[in-house]
Amino acid sequence: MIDPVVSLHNVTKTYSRGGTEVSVLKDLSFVIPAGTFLAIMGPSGSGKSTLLNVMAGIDRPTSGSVVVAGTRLDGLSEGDMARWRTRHIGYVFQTYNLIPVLTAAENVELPLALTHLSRRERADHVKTALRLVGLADRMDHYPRQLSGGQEQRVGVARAIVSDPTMILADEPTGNLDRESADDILTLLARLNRELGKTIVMVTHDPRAAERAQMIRHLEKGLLEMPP
Amino acid sequence: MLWSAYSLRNLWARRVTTLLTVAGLGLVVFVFVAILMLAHGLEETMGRTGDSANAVLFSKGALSEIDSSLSRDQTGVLAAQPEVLTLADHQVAAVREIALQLTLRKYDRGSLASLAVRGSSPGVFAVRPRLRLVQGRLWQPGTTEVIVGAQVARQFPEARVNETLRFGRREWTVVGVFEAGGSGFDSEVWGDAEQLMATFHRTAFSSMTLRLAEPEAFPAFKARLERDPRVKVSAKREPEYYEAKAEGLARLIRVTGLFLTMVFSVGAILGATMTMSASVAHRTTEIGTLRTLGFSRGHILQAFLLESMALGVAGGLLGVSGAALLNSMTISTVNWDTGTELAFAFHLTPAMAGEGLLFAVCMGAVGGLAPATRAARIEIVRALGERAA
Ligand SMILES: Nc1ncnc2c1ncn2[C@@H]1O[C@H](COP(=O)(O)OP(=O)(O)OP(=O)(O)O)[C@@H](O)[C@H]1O
Ligand SMILES: [Mg+2]
Repeated sequence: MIDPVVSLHNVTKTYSRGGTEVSVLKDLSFVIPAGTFLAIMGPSGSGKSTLLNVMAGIDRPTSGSVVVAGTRLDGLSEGDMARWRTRHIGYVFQTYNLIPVLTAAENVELPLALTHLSRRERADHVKTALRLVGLADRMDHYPRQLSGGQEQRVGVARAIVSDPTMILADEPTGNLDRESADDILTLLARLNRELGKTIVMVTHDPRAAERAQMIRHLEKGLLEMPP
Repeated sequence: MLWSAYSLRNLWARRVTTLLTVAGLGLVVFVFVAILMLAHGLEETMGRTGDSANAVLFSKGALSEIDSSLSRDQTGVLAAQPEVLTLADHQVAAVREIALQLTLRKYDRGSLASLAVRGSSPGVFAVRPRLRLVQGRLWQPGTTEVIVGAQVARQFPEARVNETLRFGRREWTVVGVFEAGGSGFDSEVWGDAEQLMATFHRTAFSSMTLRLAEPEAFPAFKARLERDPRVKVSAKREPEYYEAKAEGLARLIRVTGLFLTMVFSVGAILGATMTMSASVAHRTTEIGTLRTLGFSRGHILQAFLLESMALGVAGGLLGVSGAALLNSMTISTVNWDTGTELAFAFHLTPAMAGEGLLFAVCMGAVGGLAPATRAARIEIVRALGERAA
């Protein structure tokens, strides 16, 4: 079997709100093999984002162990976690989250500012990533000059520019029309197929989920077993 | 590079608030630098008063010319000292002087002004060779003629050649105007010592100024005279003597000025804090995004601090530029040490500009510290949850 990129053991996440404990993730254990394109579905409030964020190292579980890309995340300090994210995680947001004061190229370059690449190498990487998402001609446009679909393509370019181990996407097509959504899904599928990227995508659109190799349902904090 | 561009462009994106904040910081820096210029200008003016080859002698224990008194006998002994320069006409380069402060009503506005009057002798131009008579002539000994310094001529319309000044119940005819290189003498009126002493019922002189043949001989000269029990005088080099007179006022300007600046700076710092807080609140999601991409808390702190320090730099440049406009502007003030009006120029030095900028950057940093810390502390998931759009 191929090494898993993600392996979760007995992961729980609870929030205490006004004295009552709310269990969002209940004793989750599963692995995601390298090179998988996985879609996580489930109703609103089922904990999909929480699960994704735990895997992205931007949220910590209440208990259980999370091993992603060979690193146990529970023991890491904030600083180590940040450095780990730079190397291993590309994150695509539902609302694109581009920095408004930076151009498309600069937005894509942002994660590279944390690496030791030369200026020249960074420019090359940025160009490659933008070409891959079909926006090489929009390098100098600011986010407000782009359509939603284009903004999200820049978001995807930013997620892949540093060649991370895994791409995590939280409802990447949630704010897009059918056509733009298809473009993004095609792009993700291509990244998975041609570059072998491991992708985990949260969505509640069944048509989007169909584009993944594998679909898992999260229901009340429990992951439904694959058929 | 990208990181600083990010900070600077965010300032530009909110340019109205940025500009207001910068204006506030700039105003404080302007006041700060103007005060430094004022105090420095004063010291410079007084430091230029006099010649280092000259020694001023005044009675032991006197704080200034005003409360010093030297008798005719004393001045006779002092003028006969071997160190004193002998002039071509076998006279010695020494003047005994009387310093007076008079209150005069200015003709134009009827306002009261204080004027320094010095009773001297025509030999004064041999003792102070850098002074130049620019208009008219010297006074005739034994008459009520006077000459006025360039600043006096500028400030008192009546202080013109052929006009008269009225003080001590007598009329004094202005016969000349002299230029003293922007020094304190420029703010004085000079006339015949004997006439002034008679008018004001004085029997003693205030001080004596001697020109030494060898300026290097001053320390030994001073030591010998100050030990001599017959004369009971203190000696100072002329520039030091006048500089010391301005010290009190310069210190007063610095202390009150800097106190005022500190008070104002609290306002400007709060302005920067408010601006940066609004910026952090507005960009919470962005902070979450950056952290997700791998930027650390330290990076976030740095970005926001950089932003507020850039506000400081801009404010500093604005304030220093404003202060530069005051450069070489001449103002007149009352010298509290002597109570007379004194004119002097603002003068901006590179060091003052540097201090102004540094002060501005510090205000920016202090103002930005709390919001930047808050920005750095925020939890990623919480930040992402706040939808600014
Ligand atoms: N900081 C928090 N404090 C308390 N409860 C929280 C917090 N964050 C999330 N929750 C709760 O955890 C549950 C899961 O949230 P999560 O965002 O993971 O759901 P989701 O499946 O992504 O939903 P959606 O499809 O609407 O995005 C929700 O009931 C939510 O109210
Ligand atoms: Mg969600």
